[in-house]
Amino acid sequence: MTEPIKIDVWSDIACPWCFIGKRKFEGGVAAFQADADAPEVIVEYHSYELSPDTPVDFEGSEIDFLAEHKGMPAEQLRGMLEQVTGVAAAVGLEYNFDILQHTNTVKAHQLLHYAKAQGIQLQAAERLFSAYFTEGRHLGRAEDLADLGAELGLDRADVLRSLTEDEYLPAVRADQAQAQQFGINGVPFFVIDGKYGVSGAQDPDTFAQVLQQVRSERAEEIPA
Amino acid sequence: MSETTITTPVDPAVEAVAVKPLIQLTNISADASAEGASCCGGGCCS
Repeated sequence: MTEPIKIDVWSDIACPWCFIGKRKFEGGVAAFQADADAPEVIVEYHSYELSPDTPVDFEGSEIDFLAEHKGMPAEQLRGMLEQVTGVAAAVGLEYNFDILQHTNTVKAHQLLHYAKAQGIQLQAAERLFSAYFTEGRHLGRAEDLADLGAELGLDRADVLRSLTEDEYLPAVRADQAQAQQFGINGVPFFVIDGKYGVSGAQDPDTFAQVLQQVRSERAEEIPA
Repeated sequence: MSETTITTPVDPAVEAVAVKPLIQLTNISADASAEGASCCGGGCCS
């Protein structure tokens, strides 16, 4: 029996390239698994806070936030967001930066860990990205996140308890420490089979190629 | 203080260094940073 290939993904819900990268990565996995003999691919999401100093109730638009943090003119930022929106559309995603509510994502990361413990982390990641970039939902507050948890079929009251108690905050911090150890300074970042790092929202072909590379190396390691 | 950068994807120079064994990650970061705005090859940087 072929051992699965493990993919560890560092991302932040507030990173537009992470949702795009998720789609492109899924495309790469699908291409890789077009071969019926290809090994299973197991994916685990890890926490990375791009802007941990962002207040939960940040008042302003995404452009306001980026202008404040980057010191770039609003017009230039508007162009960048339009470009990202176009790239997202090309992979089937609808980004609505005009209604996006920028916030601190540490509670959202905790919900992803809670969902992992319940076996639905990938569904939760998809739901959170969509809620943030498409629907303009607020992802910084425990009550709002508990609503999303309930939509995912989780026990709302227990999600709220967990988020209020910061039950999974140590898990978030452990992910961040691991990212630091790997030297990760941007997301999305994909660690494949514990051996290769793929930075950024690369094209599906890149992901398929590195998966195939891992598979080939494994075959070479099997003694004759 | 951290900051967020939204970068343009993916110029060939960045793509060339985007897939490396983990042991070389430090070098990737240094090389990618030299690319300025494309530091993550289509990603968000802290």
